[in-house]
Amino acid sequence: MTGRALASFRSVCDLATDAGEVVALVWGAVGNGPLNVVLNRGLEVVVPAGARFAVMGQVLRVGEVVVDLSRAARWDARPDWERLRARRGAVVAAARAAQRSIAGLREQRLLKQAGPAVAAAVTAFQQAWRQTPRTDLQSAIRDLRPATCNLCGLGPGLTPAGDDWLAGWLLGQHLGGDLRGLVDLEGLIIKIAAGRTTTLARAFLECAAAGEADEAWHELFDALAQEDANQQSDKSANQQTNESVNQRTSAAMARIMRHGATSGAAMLAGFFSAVEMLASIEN
Amino acid sequence: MSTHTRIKPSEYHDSVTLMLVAKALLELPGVEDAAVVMGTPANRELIAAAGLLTDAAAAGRPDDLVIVVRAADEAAGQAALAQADALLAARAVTTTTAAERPKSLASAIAATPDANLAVISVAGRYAAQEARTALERGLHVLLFSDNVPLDEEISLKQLAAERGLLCMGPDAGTAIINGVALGFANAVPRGRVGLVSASGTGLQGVTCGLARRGAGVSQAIGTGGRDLSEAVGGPMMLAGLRALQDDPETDVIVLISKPPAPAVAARVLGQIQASAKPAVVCFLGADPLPIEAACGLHVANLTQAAAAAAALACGERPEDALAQLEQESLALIPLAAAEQRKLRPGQTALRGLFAGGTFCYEAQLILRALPEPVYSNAPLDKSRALDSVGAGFPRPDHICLDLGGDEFTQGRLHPMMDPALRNRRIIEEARDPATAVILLDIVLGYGAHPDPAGVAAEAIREAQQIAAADGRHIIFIAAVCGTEADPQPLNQQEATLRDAGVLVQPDNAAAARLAGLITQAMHGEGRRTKDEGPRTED
Repeated sequence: MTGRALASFRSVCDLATDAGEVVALVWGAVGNGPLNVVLNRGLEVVVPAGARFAVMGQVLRVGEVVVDLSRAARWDARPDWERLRARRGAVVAAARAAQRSIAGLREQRLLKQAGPAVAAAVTAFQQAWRQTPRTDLQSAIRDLRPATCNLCGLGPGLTPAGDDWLAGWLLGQHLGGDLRGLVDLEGLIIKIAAGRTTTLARAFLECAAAGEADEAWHELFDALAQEDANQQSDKSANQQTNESVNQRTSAAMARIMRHGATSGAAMLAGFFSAVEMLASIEN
Repeated sequence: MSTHTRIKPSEYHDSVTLMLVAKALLELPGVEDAAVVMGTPANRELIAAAGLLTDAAAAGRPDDLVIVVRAADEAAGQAALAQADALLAARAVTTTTAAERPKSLASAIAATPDANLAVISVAGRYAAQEARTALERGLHVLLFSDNVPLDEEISLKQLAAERGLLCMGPDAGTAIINGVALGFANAVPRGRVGLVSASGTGLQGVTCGLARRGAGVSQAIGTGGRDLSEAVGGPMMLAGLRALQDDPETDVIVLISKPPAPAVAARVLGQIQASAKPAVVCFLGADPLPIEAACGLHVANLTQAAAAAAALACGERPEDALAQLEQESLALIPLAAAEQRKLRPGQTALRGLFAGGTFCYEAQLILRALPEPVYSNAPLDKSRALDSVGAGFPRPDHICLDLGGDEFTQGRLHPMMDPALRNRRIIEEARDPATAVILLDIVLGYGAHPDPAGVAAEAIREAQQIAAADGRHIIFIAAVCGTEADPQPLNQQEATLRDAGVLVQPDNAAAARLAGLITQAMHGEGRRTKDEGPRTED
């Protein structure tokens, strides 16, 4: 397998294979993710964009950097969707509470910062989603296409904010499960993304469509599910536990928002939007 | 007008980098519009809507970085593209080679075990948690973040009080502790005046005023804007006041705030009475009687606070310093009369465009002397709120805007760091034939824009050209809050403004007073509704 380096950042070196697949060498606090190869220490040299790499056997070489993949452990990037869906109502309620706790903060300001075009495209997408009939999936897909096209690839940055928002929204749809025609919608977004956004953003969207998410998202889902569990138990006996779970939710959201310059925040905004829609469907 | 394009195949930068580069290009001379985006179809549609889509940009692919600049001429366009290359290269170097920074409070404490103060500036929801951790680890806290819930603030300040620590903030933008400037602060000399302030720009105004008068600062403690509310109860104002009363390095104390809740004011004034150290009390707009009854020295504005405290620190009578200020203000009357003659009938409006919230508030207090009301997004009282002016009613003549208010800073840097928004307002106001006076504050110091006067001067010159084309002249008045030791030396900044024709005043109060005198005279002449001499009342 061969390819080239897309970009290097403080704790990430993004690579793309010649077949268009993305792999990220990460270190430090970044952690596991569907695209990530987690290194136990940072690269000592900066890999310039465009540098060729090759994977031969269990060794990845890019410039002077040699990464031994033989001892890498596989990590399951899919959260336990079945467990989360089984408690969907309560998890949605916990997610809405989490959203309210940071209302007006960075995840919402992000869309304004990304520009009025992104905010308008998000609003158009949400309206299209609300208006689509729930029984006729083909019509729904057709009606959503223009709004999805508008959002995909929109905004500055290596992963445009519109794509980040859609990726978060797709994760929310996985929480919804069979409430909507998820498979068809995933396909629509992936098809549109193929021609309308960057290699990196497309890779993130594909992961989200497949229900795969970074470690920080796993932490958020675990925390939300745990909040649900605690709410079901005796409040007085678990006051201390509840407090720590709230902190876990906050810590997970903070970690998500540290992803990229604005990407994590935009994903959270998309996820919370999906959560709101799920809540309205269930009600 | 020409449009220039640079395509950088497969070049990736994060979104903040691209937005900052685009903003930097827009500030270049001769650049009318610019876009720096990945070449996705959606982004190409966006730049097409802005009239920036060239053939080269239209051919861009999603993985290409597309830079488009519309400029006055070829040279300006090429210069902008070269600047974009340089900025992107510099950002890439910064991103990849910057020294490793601590990723958490715990790792920061581990790296600097002798530290006794933590500066916290993260999103409000997380700020409280970080502040609590810092207090529990025995650190004083400067909590720069806003949007911290009220109950969290109360709880944090209770914890700080229990531990004998300071919790400055939330929303504390300025402090100077043991000579170290924190947040937006100025390079002022050390000295014998200690300050506690609920206002960041108020603290900057007074510390710079002290420096102008040769006095220095022992400690300058910020409390955050809500500290003196009834709900919070003023714990940090009280703790800071007690600390300064006990501090052998402090001879004079200055307190700065908008009027506190009555019960809180009583506690603070009671604490003043408990010490022999003189206290100058600048509760902007507050009733002087309770302050004087508590043996505090009441002052009406930030300038008076600095003058009185400097006099006390030098063993002089503060009354003499205040009288001297009054004397100096009389010199504004003939200046106002001379300037007013440059205006055309119908030019009656005063527009204050402020980066500092307390400067905006102080200006409104001084401009209360005008017969016509002054409206604001941060008004003295709700009846003067800009949004209280109903649709269909004419725009008020006199407006003071706090451009650091939430409605202006959503998704933007604060105007002290990014003057672009104010520059646009300057141009907008210049197009209004009623505009007579534009009043500005220029804030220097750490954290502020590297050349705020320079960028303001460009907008001022453009505004004067717009007015001149219509046979008008606009009077620009500014006060610069800073010192010679600041990263942007005060004299240079003031000279830049004077070169642009600005009437530079030594402080915000004098600037507001001069603006009021000119405007009042124009109203008297233009509308013939008043026949009063100019007033200088605060």
